[in-house]
Amino acid sequence: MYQVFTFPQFPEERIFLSYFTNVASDNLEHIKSQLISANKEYDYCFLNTNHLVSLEHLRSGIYRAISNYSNSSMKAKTLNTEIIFNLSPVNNIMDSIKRFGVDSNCSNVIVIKVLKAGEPEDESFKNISELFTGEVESKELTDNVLFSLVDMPRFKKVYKLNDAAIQGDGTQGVWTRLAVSACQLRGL
Amino acid sequence: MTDHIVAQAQKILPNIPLSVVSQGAEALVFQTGTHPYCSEESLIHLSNASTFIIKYRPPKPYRHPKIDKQITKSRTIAEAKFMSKLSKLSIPSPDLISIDSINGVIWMGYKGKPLANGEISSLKNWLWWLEKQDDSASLCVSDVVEKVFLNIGALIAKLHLNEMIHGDLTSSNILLEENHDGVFEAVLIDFGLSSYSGLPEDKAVDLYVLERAVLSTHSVHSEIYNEWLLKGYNDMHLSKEFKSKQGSKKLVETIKRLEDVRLRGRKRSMLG
Repeated sequence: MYQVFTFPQFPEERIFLSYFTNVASDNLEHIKSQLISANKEYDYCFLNTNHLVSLEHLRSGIYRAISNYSNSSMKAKTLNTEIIFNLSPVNNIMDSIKRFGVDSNCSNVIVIKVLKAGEPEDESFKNISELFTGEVESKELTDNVLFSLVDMPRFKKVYKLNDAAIQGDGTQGVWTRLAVSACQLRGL
Repeated sequence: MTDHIVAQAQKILPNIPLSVVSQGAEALVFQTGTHPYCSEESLIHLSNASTFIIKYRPPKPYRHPKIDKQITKSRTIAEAKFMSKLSKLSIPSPDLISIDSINGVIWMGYKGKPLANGEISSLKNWLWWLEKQDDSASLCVSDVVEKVFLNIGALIAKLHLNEMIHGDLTSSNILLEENHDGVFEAVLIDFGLSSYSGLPEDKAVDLYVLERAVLSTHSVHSEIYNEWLLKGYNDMHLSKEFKSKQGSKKLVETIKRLEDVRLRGRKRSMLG
């Protein structure tokens, strides 16, 4: 299962997004090592779900990455890393990969790829599925899924929101707003 | 002139329908129905998921291009940061959606709801609308209006207690939004002149600017309006939340300074 969407300002860039659960930790370790050695077969953006509070939050990072890409003002070497970097509130690429990238302790993985013109999406999905071993499940990524998986204490720590004046536990909307502004203003 | 700037904005924001809401000396404000990255309304965590605001600072031809770029960038960033700081403090203000500092574009959430006559629900338009509704003028000084002014006073106090200065407080830079209980809540907008300062001087000038704005745009009842504003401002300083944080001391300093400012005007020196 996967989805493909575009942003109105950048109709050329089609964003492919899929979501897998139940990924084994040795599988994730393997993916990580392949990413580090820049294996072409692993040319995707892998994210864990620990610090993502909503789809709007996730998309705001992708949007900023693509907008930097089209302005030629990317800080990271690849668009995949740029997406990870733009989800982070901290101005350090290694740090953002550690927090938002593949995490062997998180069995839920989001895989994103910005497709080139004419690149078939079903083939990407097939290729990605082959990177996972064992009983992985491909599911639909929704707002509810993300909000149920987010690790709230860690999320708040990463986005430095422990001192925010929030009434009660805060809703998904409240946390989304704070996370989006933190991502959008990173490094500025 | 505006057409030219709108064309520039459209070039930076392709495929985004733009309609001009207001124009200032430094920026143009547009309204649009397209979200930059969430096409599905169900994904958008904003109070209004179908209308969005874009503030665009066009390049100024009379400035040196390099300096112009720097100024546009730093002002755009400063404004967006101020907004995000307010939302962290739970002070009602527009929500940040995205910022493109190089092009001078800020996307933010739409606040308020059009009035019965179709105008933007700013404090100014609302009070003018009330004035038109009723000749005896009792509407203009009703409990509802009093509550709104007390609320605004409290809001400005909260801002000042966090050492933040709005810089351009006028009745058109305060929007009214109806909450779930039907009560009007004030939302501050336009942080183009905002700054950070703990000085009583800056806070007093901030209050003075609003006082003068109320006096000139709503002259009939300006006295009572300003009284309510200051009451709301007072009450917030003396509230439980801020009393322990030197609220009353800061209040005395600012009010004392306000009296000086009233005598001399907004500018500290008579030169320049």
